[in-house]
Amino acid sequence: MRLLSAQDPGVPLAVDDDELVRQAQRDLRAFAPLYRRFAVRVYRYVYSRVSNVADAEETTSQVFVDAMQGLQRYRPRGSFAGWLLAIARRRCADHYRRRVHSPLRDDLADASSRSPMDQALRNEALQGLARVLEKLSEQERELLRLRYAAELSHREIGYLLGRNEGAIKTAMSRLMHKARALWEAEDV
Amino acid sequence: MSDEQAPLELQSALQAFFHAQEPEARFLEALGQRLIERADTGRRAVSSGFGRAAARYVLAGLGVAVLAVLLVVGPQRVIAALARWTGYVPGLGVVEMAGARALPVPVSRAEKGVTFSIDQFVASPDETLLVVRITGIERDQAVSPRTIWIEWPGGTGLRLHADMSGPSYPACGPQGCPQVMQPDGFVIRKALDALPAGVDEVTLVWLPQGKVPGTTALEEWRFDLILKPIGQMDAAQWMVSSYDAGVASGRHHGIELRVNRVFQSSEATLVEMQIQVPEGIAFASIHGVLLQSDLGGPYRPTWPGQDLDEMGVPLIASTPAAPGGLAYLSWSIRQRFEPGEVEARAMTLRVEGVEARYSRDDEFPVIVGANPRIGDVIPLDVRFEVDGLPIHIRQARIVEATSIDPLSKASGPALEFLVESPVRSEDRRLLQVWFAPNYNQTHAMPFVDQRTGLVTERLGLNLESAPAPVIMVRLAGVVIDLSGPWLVSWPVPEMHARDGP
Repeated sequence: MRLLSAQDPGVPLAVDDDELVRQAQRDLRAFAPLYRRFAVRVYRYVYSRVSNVADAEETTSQVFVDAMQGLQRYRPRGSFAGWLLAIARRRCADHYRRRVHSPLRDDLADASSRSPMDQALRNEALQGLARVLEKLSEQERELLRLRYAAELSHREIGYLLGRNEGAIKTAMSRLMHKARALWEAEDV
Repeated sequence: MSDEQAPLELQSALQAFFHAQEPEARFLEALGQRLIERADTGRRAVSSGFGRAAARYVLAGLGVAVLAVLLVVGPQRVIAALARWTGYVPGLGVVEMAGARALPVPVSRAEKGVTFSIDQFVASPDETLLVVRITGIERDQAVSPRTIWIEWPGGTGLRLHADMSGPSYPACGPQGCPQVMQPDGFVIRKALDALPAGVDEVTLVWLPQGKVPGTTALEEWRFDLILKPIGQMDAAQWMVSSYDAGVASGRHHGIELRVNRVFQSSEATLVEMQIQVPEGIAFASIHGVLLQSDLGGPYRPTWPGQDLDEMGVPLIASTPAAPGGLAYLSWSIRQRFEPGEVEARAMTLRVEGVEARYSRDDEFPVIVGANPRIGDVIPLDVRFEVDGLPIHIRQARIVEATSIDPLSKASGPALEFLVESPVRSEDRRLLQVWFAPNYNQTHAMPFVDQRTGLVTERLGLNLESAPAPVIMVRLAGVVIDLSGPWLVSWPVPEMHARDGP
C-alpha cells in the first residue's frame, strides 16, 4: 500500500525545497513536510542499493535522522534532494561496509525470503530489465537509481556527483542508448 | 537523445523496475512519528522556537549572569556543577544526569550456573536505560531483549526505543587486552520510555524461557529495585567529570583526528574524538592508540565494549566548500584508557596508524571456462593504484567454496585471488582487497605474507550461478594501513583538575 508519493498532496509543490528547509532550520518541527516530500524517493533509492525490506527501512530511517541532525549545516543552494541523497549514498556505503563482513550464510538467508521486489521480478519484462542492469557498470546503474528510484533531476544528480548538468545529460543519453540496445537484445 | 527522449517503453520499464518495491505505510508512519518526537525533543533542548537574533541576546544575558555567579560562588564549584550535567555510564554512554535516578550498585542472582546481573539502571526524565548481563548460558543461546521488562505499582511495560545485544567480554587484566577476546556471556542494553515521575521502586522481570536448566518455560526471575537520585549516590563507577578539549587536532595523510571531550575518573579516562576522512575513503579505524600526560603514562586503551549510544553513530558528509573542492566524511570515536593522574595539566593522544577503506568501483573479467574445475589457475593482469599504492591482481585459482568458509552452505567451486603490492611503500601498506558480493559470494579474511608482499584474497563465488565462461568480478574496496603518528595535544583545564573525582 502506498501512503505517500513523490507528489504527496499534503506537500504543496509550489513551496520549493529550500523554503521548506529554511522553515525547518528555524523550527525542527517543520521537518515533517520535507520528510513527506522525500521519504518514498529515498526509500526507493535505498532499496535499490540494499535489496531487502528490513535493511531498506533501517537505512532510510538513519538517512532522515542524519538529515535532521545535520540540517543546520545545509546551505540552501537549490539542491536539497542532492544533499539528502548524498547522505543516503553514505548510509548505503556504511550498510555495505557492515554487510561485507557478514558470512555467506546471512546472504543465503536473505535470498531464501523473497521480497515483493523479487516477486515483481517474476514479471518477464522486469526480469529482462534486471539482466540489462546487470550488464551495466556500477556507475551506470547508480545513474539510473538516482534518476528513476530517487527521481532526481539532471541538475540534482550533477550537484551530487560534482559534475555539471550538461555532463549528466550527455552521460544519461549515452547510457540510454546502451540500455536500449541491451534491452532490445533481450527481446522483451 | 537525452534520457527524456529515450523510448517511452524503456523509461516506463525503468520506472516500474525501480518503483516495484514501495515502502510500507506502517513504516512511513512510524518513522514520521519518530522524527516528530526527535524534533520535539530537539526543540525542548535548544529552545529554537525564537529567532537567532533573540537567541544571541539571551545568550549574551546568560553570559553576564554566569559571570556574576562565577564572581559570587567561585569558578571551581560552578564548572564542577556544569560538568556533572552529563556523565558517562559504562554500557550506556553519555547520559543526562540532571533529575535522573539510578540503581546505586549492580544487582544479580545466580542459579544452576546461570548468573543474571543488572549492571546499570538509569531513569532520566527523558528515558529509562539499562544494561543487563547474563553468563553461564550456551554461547549460541541469544537472549531476546523482549524477555526482559519493567513493572511498577500501577504500571507495566515501557516502549522500547533501541536495544543493543551481543557477547559480553571480561575486563582486561594488568597485562592489557589480549589480541583475541573470548566472550564470557551475553549483554543486553535497552533504551525505553521514561518511567513516570516519582516512581522509584520498580521490578525488573526476566523470562529465561528454558535457558536456565530445570526451569519451566513460564518461570520468571524478578528483581525488586530501589532507585536513588544520582546526586545522592557515590558514582565512582561513572564518569561525571568532563571537559572540552578545545580545538585539539592532528592531521596526517589528509585524515584529521580531533579530540572533543574528555571524561575522567579514578577508574578510567575516556576520550571522545572525531575522525574526518577525505571523500574516497568509505571508512577508517584507528589502531596503536596511547594516551600520555605531563605527569605520567603512557596509558593503554582498555577494552571498550560498546555503549548503547554508539549504535547508529551518524556518518556526517560535508559538501565541498567550493565546486571541485574536497568533500569529507566524519564520525565520532570513543576510546577508554587506563586511569591517568587527575592533577595532570596537559594530555597527548598518539595514534600510530589508521586502516582506511578506499571505495573502488571497477570490474574485471575472469575467464573460468565452460567447465571450471577445482585447481584451475587463471592468469590475470589487473593493475591499479589506490592513493599512490600500486596493486596487482595477478592470478585466480578455482578452489572448493568450503575451503574458504567451512560453514558455507554453498558447495562447489570458488575463486581465490593472488594480489601483489609492495610490502611497505614508505608509510602505507595493503591490508585487504574487498570484492562486491555478487553471485552469493563469501569472503574470508585475506592472508598477507609480509615478506613477499603477496596477499591471498579468497572469494567464495558460486560459479554455478555465475554467467560462465566469463564472469565479471567487481572490486568494492581496498583497505590500506596508513602509518602515523597522529598526535593530538590539549591542556587540561585547571578547574577540572582540582574538582575531579
